Amino acid sequence: MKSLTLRAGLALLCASTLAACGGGSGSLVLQANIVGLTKDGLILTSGPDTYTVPANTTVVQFPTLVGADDTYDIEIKQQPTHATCTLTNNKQKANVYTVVQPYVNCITDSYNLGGNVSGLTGIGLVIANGNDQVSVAPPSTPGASVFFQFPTKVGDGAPFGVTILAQPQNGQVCVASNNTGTMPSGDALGLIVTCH
Amino acid sequence: MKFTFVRALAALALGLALSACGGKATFDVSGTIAGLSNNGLVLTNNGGDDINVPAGATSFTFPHRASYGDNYDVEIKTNPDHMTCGFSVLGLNSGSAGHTVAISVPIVCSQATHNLGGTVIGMAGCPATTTDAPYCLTVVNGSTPGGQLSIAKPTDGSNNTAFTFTGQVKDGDSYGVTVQTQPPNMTCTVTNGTGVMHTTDVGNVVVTCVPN
Repeated sequence: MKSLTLRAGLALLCASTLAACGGGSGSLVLQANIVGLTKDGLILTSGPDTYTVPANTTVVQFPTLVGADDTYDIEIKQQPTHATCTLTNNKQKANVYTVVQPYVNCITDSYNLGGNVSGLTGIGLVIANGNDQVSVAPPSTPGASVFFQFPTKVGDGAPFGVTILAQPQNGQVCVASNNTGTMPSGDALGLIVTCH
Repeated sequence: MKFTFVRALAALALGLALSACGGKATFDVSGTIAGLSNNGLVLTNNGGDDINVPAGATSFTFPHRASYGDNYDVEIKTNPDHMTCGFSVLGLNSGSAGHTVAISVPIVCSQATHNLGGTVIGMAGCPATTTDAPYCLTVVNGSTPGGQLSIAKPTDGSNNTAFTFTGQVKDGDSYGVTVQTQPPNMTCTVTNGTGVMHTTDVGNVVVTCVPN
């Protein structure tokens, strides 16, 4: 009888010990899905793991397995350079469904694109960067150059290419120069449009 | 006398009861619409019963109800101006009335998009396409998604090649094609490179490359 109690107690102790240390001996692969990461520098952590995520990564699988019903916790240790990432479903109880649910959504910093128009005398000039348009009116002081800026900012590292969508109605012809490139980590306001 | 009165009353009651439950159940043929920002959408049921759905509508109901067991088949007869509509859940647009508690066909509309592309000519001076030099030049359509395309010299020795951006352009949106990266020792210029997308694909952009 006494031996039975002892044995039961031992079994209980054994079970609770297993439960306590279950986290380290899990069987589930924890995965983070990454959207929109165009820049290096992102560092994610999960439990003991630290994972440096290069640009353009879409999926990260953490090396340490998690146990069923353990709570996992993915955090951002360092944001990418010139981008900001946010986490969703990053802290949940692990099971076969939830371990693939974490998301890291990243948005690259964006900057203004614009420049100056010189020689413009007529109305109707429209400058385009793809589907983004800006109308430019002639200066109130004849001969002055006119500053313009597109309504939509452009992401760091994204391409841009500026064309003349509509020429002035007075027959002037405007030409964009210095008009295509890759967006720097700051405003690009050096576009030049010359009208004759 | 009294007997016939009772009999007449019974007959009347029976008639009323029959008319109450005898007619088949009928169902509205209706649904929901998301994203409809232009006029022009025409829907049909079983090829008729046309309804014009105005811009901004979020639901529709056909004038004729369907009786229990009747087949219904809702189709898009005409898309709205500059838009394309479809059924957001496949299979709900047709069936047998009464199979579900109510008929609700979900429709979703979005701005129509079309391909943008053209031809590169004069690629004789491009480096041969290799793993080290996979491309000759890069064209962009502004900063639009899918609007950057690197183009290789054809491996069959041809000096011209067609190209199409992966990112389509919405009906009504402007586009503007420029050469972002020029080939070594050549200069490429774009003609027909800018405009506004209408109802068909644009494939007349010409990129002409000449040696420096």
